[in-house]
Amino acid sequence: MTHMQTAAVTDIGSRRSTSSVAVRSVTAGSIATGWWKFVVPITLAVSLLYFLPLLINVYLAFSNWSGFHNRVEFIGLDNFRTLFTQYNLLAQVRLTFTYAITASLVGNLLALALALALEENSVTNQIFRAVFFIPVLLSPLASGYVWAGILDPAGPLNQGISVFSGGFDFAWLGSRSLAIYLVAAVDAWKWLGFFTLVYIAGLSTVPLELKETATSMGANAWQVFRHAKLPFLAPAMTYNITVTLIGAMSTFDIILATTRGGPGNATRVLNVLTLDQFGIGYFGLASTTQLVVTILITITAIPLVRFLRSRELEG
Amino acid sequence: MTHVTRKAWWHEPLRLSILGIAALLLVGVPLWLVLVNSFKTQGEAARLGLDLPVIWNAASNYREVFVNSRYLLSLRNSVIVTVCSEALLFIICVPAAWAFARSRSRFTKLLYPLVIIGVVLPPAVVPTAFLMRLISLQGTLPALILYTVGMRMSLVVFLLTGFARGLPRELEEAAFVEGASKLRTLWSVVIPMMRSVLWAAFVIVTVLIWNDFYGPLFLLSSRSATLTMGLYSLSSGVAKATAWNTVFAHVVLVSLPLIVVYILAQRQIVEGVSQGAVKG
Repeated sequence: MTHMQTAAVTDIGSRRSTSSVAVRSVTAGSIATGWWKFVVPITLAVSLLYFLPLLINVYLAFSNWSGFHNRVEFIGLDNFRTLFTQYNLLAQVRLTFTYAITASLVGNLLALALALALEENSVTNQIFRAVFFIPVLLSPLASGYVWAGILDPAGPLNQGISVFSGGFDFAWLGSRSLAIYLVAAVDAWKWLGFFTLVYIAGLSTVPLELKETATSMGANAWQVFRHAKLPFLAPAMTYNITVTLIGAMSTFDIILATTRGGPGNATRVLNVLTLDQFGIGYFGLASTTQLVVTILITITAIPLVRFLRSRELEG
Repeated sequence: MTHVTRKAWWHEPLRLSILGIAALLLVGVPLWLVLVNSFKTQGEAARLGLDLPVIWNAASNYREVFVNSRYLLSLRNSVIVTVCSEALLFIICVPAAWAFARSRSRFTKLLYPLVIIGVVLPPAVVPTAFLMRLISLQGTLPALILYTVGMRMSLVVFLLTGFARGLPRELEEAAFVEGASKLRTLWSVVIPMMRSVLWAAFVIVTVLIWNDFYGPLFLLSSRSATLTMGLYSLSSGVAKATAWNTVFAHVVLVSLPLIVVYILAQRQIVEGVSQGAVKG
């Protein structure tokens, strides 16, 4: 709040105290009631556009809805059986978690390092912040194509390595073991600038005297970070870790642009699987896979948010 | 600032060189790769070099994007989806956020957590397609707009409510004393005070909606394609592996609108996002 606003508030506050008691009690009544009109649109929107699809999803997951016939019938656990046997569901779940944890870990470590390097509010730092923010504006799909080019066997990465060891040739995204980590790193790259800003905002809440006292007492950079800055970063960390982890669990675009689930099934995370099933007309099966994503996000988010919040309180 | 003077003389040059190299490798090279190869012929672009084109083929590459993947049509569709979703989002969320911040009724207290679950749990797109088919909207822009509103309102309400809670009540109460209705108070007292968070929410949501690909792919037909869908259909064909020049020309054209806006309003965008982040 600016000083001007504060002044205006106190001014009005003092003026109000001179108004009669009767008027005040009437207004108190009108302030407390009648709010329901303001939440009617959002009640409708959240019921119809958010909860209705989630509810219907539960039914569709147990149905044979498909592009091949018009009837939608209840078929029990058939879709789940198909997922476990034909689609190797557990492997896809593991893949989805691998992607999410890698994207979150790489993104947060880099963003934190960048935020600490760009903490002071100087002109050069503002320029660097603006530059690192550019990838945030690219669509994840476009980012995928950019990195498909860089990681291509003919691309700049191999060209760069070839400078040191001539004729280096490696298909990074063609590697079954590496591909999932690389596409997750592209995800981290895309959001780096945003999470850096969140950490810088968190660092700005650290009292200057605290840092100075710590430094004057002979603390080194790590100790200042660990004991003076880190406790104040907890809210930013809660936000960033939750958003990256949960966001990466429903990843989709980057993989479609880079590996399209391959090589083999090495990067076919759950949302890509959903599209594959949807694309060939198995809508019921796609709903089942989507329900699995919903359940996974729910069981990850609840304990995660609770754990990170408790750390915040400890400071 | 005593702690600054205590640093060794080489600290600042080292910091700037590391940052410079990181910016070059992480932002400079990727953007340059895309830009310079979008000007080359297909054969030259296949080598994915960072050098300038031997033969400048820009006009032909960009013409191909404009004609073959109907750039202007998908640009129009992206603009319609972004503008309409945004308008609906703010009309629905601004009054609601103020009510969530001020009302003490049991109903709003119960409703708020239900509304913001969506921040972590995205709505289900496959059943949304099912519903849209029932009301004959599947494959059209309104289907995507409705899905987008359902998807993003949680974030908008979350950002706005957090901010509105911290606003001084005195100005609003003064407006009530003078006889202003709630709607009038919202318009002329509350919204002006929320300008910074409204801007932050607007920026974040615009980037998310503009770049969305998941919703369009499930809910739109190819006739109503948005920019990201156009990029995907051009690039996922058989030609993709070889035609880096047109793929990158498309990437440039898809990203350009947001980049131009960013160059014009860079300071406000970075500040807006930081502010939104503090509140979030």
